[in-house]
Amino acid sequence: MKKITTEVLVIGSGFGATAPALRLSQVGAQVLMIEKAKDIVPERDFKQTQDPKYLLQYLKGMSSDQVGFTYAEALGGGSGFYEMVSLRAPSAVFDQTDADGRRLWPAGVDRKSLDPYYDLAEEMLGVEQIGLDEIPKSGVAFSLLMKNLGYSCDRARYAVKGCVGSGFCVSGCIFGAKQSLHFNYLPQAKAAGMEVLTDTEAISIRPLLYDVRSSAGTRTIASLPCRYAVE
Amino acid sequence: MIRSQQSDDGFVTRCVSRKEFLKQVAVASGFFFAACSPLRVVFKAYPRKFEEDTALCDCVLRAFVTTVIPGAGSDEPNLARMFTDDYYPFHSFSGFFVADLSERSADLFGNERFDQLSLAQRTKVVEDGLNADATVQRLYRGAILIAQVSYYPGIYDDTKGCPLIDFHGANYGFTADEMYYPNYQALLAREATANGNYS
Repeated sequence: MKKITTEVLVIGSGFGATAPALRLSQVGAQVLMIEKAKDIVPERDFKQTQDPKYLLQYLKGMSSDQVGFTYAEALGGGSGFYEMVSLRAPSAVFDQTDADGRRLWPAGVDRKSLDPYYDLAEEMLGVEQIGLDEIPKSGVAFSLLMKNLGYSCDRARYAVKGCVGSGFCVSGCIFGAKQSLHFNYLPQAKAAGMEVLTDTEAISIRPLLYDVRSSAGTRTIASLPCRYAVE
Repeated sequence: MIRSQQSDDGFVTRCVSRKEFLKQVAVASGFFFAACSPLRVVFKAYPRKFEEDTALCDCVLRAFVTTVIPGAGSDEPNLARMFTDDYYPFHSFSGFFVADLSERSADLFGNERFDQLSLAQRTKVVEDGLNADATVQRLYRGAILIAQVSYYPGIYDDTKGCPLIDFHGANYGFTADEMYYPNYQALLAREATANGNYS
């Protein structure tokens, strides 16, 4: 087994992994990203098909009685396969509490404090609200339905540039219109020195231990802060 | 050898030899085996020609698809491919499925070749399968689903599409007239946000 030592190990390559990987790489940290799935080059690997054989090699699902969700296993995580809708969480989301009245989000985290980071992420991903003249017939029909029911209806914000309307967003955009992580965070992080290992899975994570000797000579074992062995 | 003995309390006891017992068990198992679809599938208890003769199997499966999907052309190259594609679980049942179609064709119309029957006759055969025991019912329903999943989205030919459902296939270029309404602004509902994000 090959042993690699790095300052920062990022496990996974989706939205949550690539943003910190990029920023840490940019400030000079030695960053290694590992991804259990295979490498993806959108123009080479994405297909316009509804073949379950193709879709299921990337899209996986998990479910329980309470919740079910779909995720993707590929370099770039779900960014290559999501629907590109990129909305900011409304303020009310951050005020949610659990059954005991405790706030679900950490203190100081709310919409106002996150807005600068939303700005940054939207700029990176090229998120824009679609223009009035870009609303397709299906969207107009839905908006008309809402209008007739007495509701409002807003245009979504998308991470897309130059959409050709082929309709195969979820199978991966072969035109490069979907602004997945392959076009922004990942290449920028690589340019800043980040290394990426695909087909590499983290099986276990354990803290690195070291001896601590007190002045009285007693010996204890402690874990080094933020130091881990990953296999 | 079977011998009968009358006991003191009047009961007649049949003494069956080991050989006779095994014979009876074998016959009973045979009847049970023949009548039980799951066992026939597991033990592949159907004529082997339906797995070995791929040309026959393909003809029958094509005929099945054209029966359950009206308008499907029997000469389309990938029409029955999904039934035998080893990626999909149905492939391990395709031999039994073809054998079952053939048996029902022979029982109902005296012709084992399902693909040589008329559309009305083939429809009857499929209906017969859909009304059979639970295992066969599930198999036929699965086969119909597989046929639909394979045919309508054109999974083996991304660019082909399917005219039956007005699906033009991948990379179909939409014109502006096809994509947008000219008078869209009169139809849209009121917007509640300035930029698509709720505050």
